[in-house]
Amino acid sequence: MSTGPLDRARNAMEGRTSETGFDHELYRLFPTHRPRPEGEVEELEKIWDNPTGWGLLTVVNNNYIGFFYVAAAFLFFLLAGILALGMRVQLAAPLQDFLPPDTYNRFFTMHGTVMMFLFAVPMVEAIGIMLLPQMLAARDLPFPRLSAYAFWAYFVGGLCFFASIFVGWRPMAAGSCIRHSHR
Amino acid sequence: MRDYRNDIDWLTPTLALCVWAAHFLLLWAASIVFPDQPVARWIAAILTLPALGAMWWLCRRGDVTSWVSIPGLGITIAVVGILFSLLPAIVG
Amino acid sequence: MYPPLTSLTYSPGINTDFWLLGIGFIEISAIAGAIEIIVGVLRTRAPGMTLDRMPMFAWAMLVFAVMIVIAFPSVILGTLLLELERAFNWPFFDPARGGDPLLWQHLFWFFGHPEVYIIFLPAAGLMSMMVATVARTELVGYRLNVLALVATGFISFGVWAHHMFATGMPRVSTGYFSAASMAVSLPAGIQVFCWIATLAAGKIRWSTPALFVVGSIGIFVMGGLTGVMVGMVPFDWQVHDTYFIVAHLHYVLLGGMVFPMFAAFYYWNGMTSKNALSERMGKWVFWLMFTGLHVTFLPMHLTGFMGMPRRVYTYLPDRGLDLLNLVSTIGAFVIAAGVLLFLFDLARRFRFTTSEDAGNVYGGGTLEWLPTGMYSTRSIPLVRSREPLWDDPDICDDVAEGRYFLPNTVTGLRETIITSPINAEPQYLQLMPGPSPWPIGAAVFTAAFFLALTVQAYAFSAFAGVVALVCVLRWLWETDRPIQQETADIGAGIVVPIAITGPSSHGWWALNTLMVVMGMIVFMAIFSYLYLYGINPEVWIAPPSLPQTAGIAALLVLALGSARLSRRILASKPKGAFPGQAPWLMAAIGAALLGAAIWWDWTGWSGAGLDPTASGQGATVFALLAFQACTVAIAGIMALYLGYRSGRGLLVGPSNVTLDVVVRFIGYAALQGLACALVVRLFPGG
Repeated sequence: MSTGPLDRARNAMEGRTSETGFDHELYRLFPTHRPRPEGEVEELEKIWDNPTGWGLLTVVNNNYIGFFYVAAAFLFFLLAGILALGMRVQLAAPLQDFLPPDTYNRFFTMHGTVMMFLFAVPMVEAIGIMLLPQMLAARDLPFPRLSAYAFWAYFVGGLCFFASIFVGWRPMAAGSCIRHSHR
Repeated sequence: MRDYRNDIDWLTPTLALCVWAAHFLLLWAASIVFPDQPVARWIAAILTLPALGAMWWLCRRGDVTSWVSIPGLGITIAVVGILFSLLPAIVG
Repeated sequence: MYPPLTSLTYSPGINTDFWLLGIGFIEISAIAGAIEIIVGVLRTRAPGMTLDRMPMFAWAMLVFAVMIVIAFPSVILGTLLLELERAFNWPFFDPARGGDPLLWQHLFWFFGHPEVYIIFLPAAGLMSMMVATVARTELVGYRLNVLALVATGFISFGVWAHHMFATGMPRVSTGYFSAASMAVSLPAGIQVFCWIATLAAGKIRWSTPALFVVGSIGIFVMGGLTGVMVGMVPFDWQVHDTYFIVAHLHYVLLGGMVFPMFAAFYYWNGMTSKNALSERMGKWVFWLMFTGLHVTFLPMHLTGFMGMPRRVYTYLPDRGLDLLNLVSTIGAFVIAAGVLLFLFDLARRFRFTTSEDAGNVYGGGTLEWLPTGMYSTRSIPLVRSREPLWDDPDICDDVAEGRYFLPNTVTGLRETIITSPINAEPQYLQLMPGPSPWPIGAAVFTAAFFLALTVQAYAFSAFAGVVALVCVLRWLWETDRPIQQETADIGAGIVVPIAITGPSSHGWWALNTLMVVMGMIVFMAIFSYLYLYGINPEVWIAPPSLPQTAGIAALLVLALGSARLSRRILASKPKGAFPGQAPWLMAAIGAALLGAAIWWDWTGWSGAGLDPTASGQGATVFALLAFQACTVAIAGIMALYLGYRSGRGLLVGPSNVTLDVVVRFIGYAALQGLACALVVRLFPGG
């Protein structure tokens, strides 16, 4: 693993020139030694506190938005996976009638589209929103409300898109140039 | 824990990959502007020369002496990509 | 979703429109996310975290975000054009009128292939971090891995037409894509070898994440090998649209993304949940999923070779396909059992929390494992190495006791430190917003606007659009507020400004990214124009006269000048002084000039006899004009907003973020207008 504890007195930026004119010698001041005043943590908690109940809809902090995002993407993963199970039941034996051709076409169109567009990219983005600020030791993403907007746009749009399969409006021709029904 | 003193030259391999990208796009453009015509292959062959020239210039600019370094490896990947792209024009 | 199958003739009804709508939301979401990630990774790192010390996931997300910015505009344009064709009969993809169905495929796959790398690279970044912790040693070849990420990102843009090998492209063209498809396996291979070397160099602790990590390497390599196979054109002609492709894509997606995702769920669960997930059940989850995957998808290689096509609802008996399909189905249910077990464990143990989490269960060394509360870390540490928690055993205590940067709040608001892109030197303090109803309001009403348009409820659509706009403006209204304090002590007496303006501000960088996105849309639209000209030059009519073109260009140059003058005027005022009406008026004049130019451009083409429903030229030219018109409309709204802010005294010298954004956007719109106007008028000329 490591070769031993760091020598804290050593300058963290040895050998590097300054990019902005910031004096790297200032880094030697850390970690500081004087104890911190009382009440600082409580004040931070108060400022970063988030509403509960319906107020959760207005939250912009990356921990919450990231969690909502991961949960939503995982939900779509499960839904598209169920579609896949339906397809596999239909294909388990030849000439079955479990899913008629039209329905089958809709199933595979939605399975593919939901997996690629509502699960895969949003999931990696969601993991990024959750993890990146913590990995970089930033307090939040640079534009918290933008990430909230992005999540809700995705969630509402994705739900409507997926719901279309039940309401009678569903696309039927994912990626195929060849005739897909055999009569 | 090692001490990371040296700044790696990331611009050189990035520029090398940009040269690959430009070379690829121009070759492809020629192949659809002149579909199935020999002139497309000639364009490919001719464009490869300035592309490789740009690679050599990047080596000089970045003081790259060996391919066992990040800039060197980046340039190598780009050169392999460029030569591999040329192959269909010559052989295919 | 290829035209002509998705054009109005063969897909009447609003099915396809709903699909296009759904994609549209993902596009918005992804672009917004990409902007956040680029600015976040480059500007909000902890001090001392040079690019060389950044976690691999941060590198992967940076490449991911840049790829989104370059690739997504292509699908945004493609879906827009298809919707325009369906709604207004503009023949982009109708060969009878000078369009080409292959254009959609080019636009889609130029996005579509980078998209799978967009999916894979972040998962690869997660893998790199988990491999290091699982093997309990530093990642072997950190810089090689970074180079591999960047090279994969680049080369993945050169392989898109390997999805189109069976469309009759010229042979040399297919050769180029075949070569690039093989070349892209080089950097991917570098990453895999780095992971294997790390696992070999360390001592693996076989936890559930370790199983998923090692399993995913194997599965992904198998998928990658079949990928190189189908990269060879004659081989692809045999297996295109058969189950061989289904096998390939599931191996790479499941091995390259889903398994790393499950590994990540187990590995980082300790950060968000009060309880760790069960290791015992986790091993069952892994083995069920791993076994199920092979049982499902390995036979598909065979069924594909035997000729079973994709997307068929059944197949004939006695072709040898019966048993193989049955085996695949059984495998699918084994995977489902694994996922079900995971869900059961999740329901039993996962309890969301932001402060009393289960902690660093697997012993990771990077900063996300610092003790955190709702406020993230109590203080922001100085970073000295790639795995700070391994190299400094006291860092957790020091951070929790506030012995580093920003141990308190300086202004009473939410804050973080903005640092420089390469060396992460502190530059200024950023003030951040708290909970707000405007983003969700804007999102819901944007969704309502587009949904209502799709079902042709125009009145409601207009209403929703207005409400969405109001939400956005109200949201923006809270930004760029004057602050009492000018500087802040971020720890140990180090003082930095609070919020800055100009090219170093994070808002500036966000606008830059947005301009690249819009520029890419225009670039792809111009490509579409040139492509259709190449296919069907005979439908092209002569452009309007050259003096008219010069006039339009002059208006646009004046608009650009007006925007720049606005900024100059504000810069000439002393600090805090109200600059009068001049700056926002100049911006408004700029927007008005843009409006005049696009009106002239549009009527000029109509006057020259160009009909958007009649030819590929008409469709692409008017698509470019329509995009410019929308951009100009946004610029107009922005100028009015600026005027309102100026009227309320919020526009003070010498520089102001809102003014910067508005005038830079107007300047960009002028340049975009020049590109849209000049290319189609000057080429091929008349």
